[in-house]
Amino acid sequence: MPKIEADWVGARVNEALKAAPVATGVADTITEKLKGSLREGALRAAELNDVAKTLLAIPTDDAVEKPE
Amino acid sequence: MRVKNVRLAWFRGAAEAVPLDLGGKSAVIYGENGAGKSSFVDAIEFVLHSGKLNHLSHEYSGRNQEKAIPNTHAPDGSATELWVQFADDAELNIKIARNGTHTKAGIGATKMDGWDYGRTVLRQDEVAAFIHSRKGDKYSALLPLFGLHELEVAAENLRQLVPAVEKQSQLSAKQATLKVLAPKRKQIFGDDDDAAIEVKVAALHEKYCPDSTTIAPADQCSEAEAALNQRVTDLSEDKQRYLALRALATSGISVAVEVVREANGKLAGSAELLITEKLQVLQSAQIFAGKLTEGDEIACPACGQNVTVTEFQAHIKAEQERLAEIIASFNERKTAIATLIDALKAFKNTLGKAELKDWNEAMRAGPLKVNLEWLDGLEPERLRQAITEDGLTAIDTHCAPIIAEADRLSQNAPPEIKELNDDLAAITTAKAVFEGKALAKEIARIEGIVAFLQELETGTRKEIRERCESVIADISIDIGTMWSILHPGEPIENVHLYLPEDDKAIDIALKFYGKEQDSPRLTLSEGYRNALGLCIFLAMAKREAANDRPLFMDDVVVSFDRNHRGMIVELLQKEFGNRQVVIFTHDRDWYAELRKLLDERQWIFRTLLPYEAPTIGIRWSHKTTTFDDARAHLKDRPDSAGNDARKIMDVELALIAEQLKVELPYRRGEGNDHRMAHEFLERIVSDGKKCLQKKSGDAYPVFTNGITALDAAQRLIAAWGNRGSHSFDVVRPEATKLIDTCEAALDVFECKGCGNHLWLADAANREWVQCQCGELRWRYGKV
Repeated sequence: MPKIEADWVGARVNEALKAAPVATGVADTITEKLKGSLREGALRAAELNDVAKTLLAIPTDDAVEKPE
Repeated sequence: MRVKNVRLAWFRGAAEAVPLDLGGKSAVIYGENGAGKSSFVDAIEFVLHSGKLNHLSHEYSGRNQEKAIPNTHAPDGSATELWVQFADDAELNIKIARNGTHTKAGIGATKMDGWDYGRTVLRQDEVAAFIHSRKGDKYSALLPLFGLHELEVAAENLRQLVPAVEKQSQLSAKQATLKVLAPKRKQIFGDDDDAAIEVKVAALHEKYCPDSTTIAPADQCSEAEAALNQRVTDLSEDKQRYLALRALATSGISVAVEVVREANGKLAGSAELLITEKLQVLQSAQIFAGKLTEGDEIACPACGQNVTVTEFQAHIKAEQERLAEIIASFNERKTAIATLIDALKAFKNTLGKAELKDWNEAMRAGPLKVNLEWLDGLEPERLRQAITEDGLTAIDTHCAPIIAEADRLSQNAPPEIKELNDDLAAITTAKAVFEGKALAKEIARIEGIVAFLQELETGTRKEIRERCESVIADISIDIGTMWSILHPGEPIENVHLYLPEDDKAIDIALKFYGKEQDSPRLTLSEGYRNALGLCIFLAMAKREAANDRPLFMDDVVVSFDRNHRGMIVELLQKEFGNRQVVIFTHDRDWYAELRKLLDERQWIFRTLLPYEAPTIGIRWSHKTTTFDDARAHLKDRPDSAGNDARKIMDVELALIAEQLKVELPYRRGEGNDHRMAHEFLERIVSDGKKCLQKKSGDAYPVFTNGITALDAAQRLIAAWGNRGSHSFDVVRPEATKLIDTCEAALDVFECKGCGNHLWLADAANREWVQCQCGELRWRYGKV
């Protein structure tokens, strides 16, 4: 059976950033959460809300540029 | 990792500890319905599903299934337990408390961690349900077996994060606020863009705050607004009256009504019936679900059936996603209603001001009596619960004359009052526009996060699809091979899995009499569909072959006809020759057939006694034949007992005759397939007088005691067996004797020395067959 490669999450996040750029903090948080869900499974409703709150609290940074 | 033994105590149908001794071998277990076969399969599922049995999930069986897992009649002080012993003697022990919670112990406690239920246990109802399920359900069932569950969980987490972000940020409310601002801006500033509004604000700021050096437009708004309010406070009573009338005249109620009307129209255009009511229920359900504790069960507010909190929350979430677009319109409408309510409250508040007291009283005595009294009775807050087109019309009808009169009177106001009012409206609206800009920026940020999550989910799903296609291509080869073993030469071919265009779906395609079909449900009969389900799950199970985990099959051939059922032996031997397979069946004929066809060196055969009572529990017969089924009828229905014995002999002897190559005269048509036990016995006795031999020293004389036993059975079947099925007058002693004699006759073919049947081994020159130790022999050449 196929296994999820260790660097899969990073590569996937970088791909998504090309099409939909977000603050570095948002990308980092999602990377960690994705790695977590590969290890620990589905996020519960309360956890989803916590992640959402964390993402919304991250300020935009100058590095974010909209794609042309 | 082969299983040596599964033992149950007060678990499901079991009473005192009852073992299923496998010794690491494959096995066929026969038991009539209710004998307790599935209790052993349940034990395996209990371990693999962490204490849950899926087939109980639709019944209320308690939070931890405590009403269904322990034997219903377990005496006080008895322990509900199960044990699984492995080939290396390591043992897993599970103790189940009365409240259904369980604990694992033993040095084999973790041996089954990581075993996939879907690749270990096959149940008839699950195989059938899989084939009947929708494409999306097939996807959910197969994905974990493809090893893609983790990716699916990641994609699902991303999908669910989107609504969580939208909810936490109140995105739709923010979007609605921005949308409601548009008509107000249009009313005050026409088509002016932001730059033009900033210029107007700068001019007003200069006008009312000439000494200020503030540059930022938003700050200019705040300063100008404060200065304007101060001027209003300083006005004479008469001028304040004019200002209040101007406020009534420019209240914006008509615009607010129109916005609500437009939002109502959008919702009414939805194809969903009673959508407003449905969304209100959905919102309440969401609040309710948020207060529940995961793991509990609740009565569904809609139907009253018990569902788990997780299922309930998932259902609400799914419904919210399905109605996402409508929910956005619904929220827009809510904001529009809130704006209208605010406008009406302000309107009523202005009407009640002291400076309008005289005017108000005069109007009540005159033409606006009805309108003002209607307004007195209006409670704006109640509009949040329900607002209809009639209600909107009434607001318009009653407010319009008051507004018109206020407008008319305020036209006579000193120019400075009109100007003051217009400037105040411009500044407050400009302030809202500037705040809206910040809101728009915030909305763009949230939408950016949402777009990123969606992009990430799309990419993950693309990856799942690509990997899925690769696995499906491999598995489809096995499915095709297994299908062709079960259905050789039949015009249903090219059976394979495929991914339809829709996301999260898997279906089965095949060629039916030369025509491609994209679903088995379109053409295949029940039996064929179940065979297909069996092939798919066996193909999955085969992918575990390297790990040598056992495969438990519970009554999987129920809907197979005799021809196709027979091919399963070939399938198991070809594809699972090295795997431990445990087959449970209530099909007596198939059990007899398997006993003859499967290699006794690798397979064991056990029969369960018919179930009598929960306190007696599951019991093994000490025989490998199924005569105990017949004995179970002796007490109440001796006719049935005799009839059963004859039917068992029909099947057993047909198979024995085939093993011994005993030839019967050819009959026309179906006659060959409907021969009776006494016909086979007559021929076996006749041939046996030369062919059936028992070793004595180095010689092989005829086994005369065996011939005597067979002959006795032949006579009794002819005399009582057929009478049992035709004339119903076999009495209990006769039926008892018939069963015992038939059983003794079949025992003739089993060696008492090695315990094997006499057809176990072929001679190299194919002159005879014999048991493993060579004590019993059937010599073909003697005929």
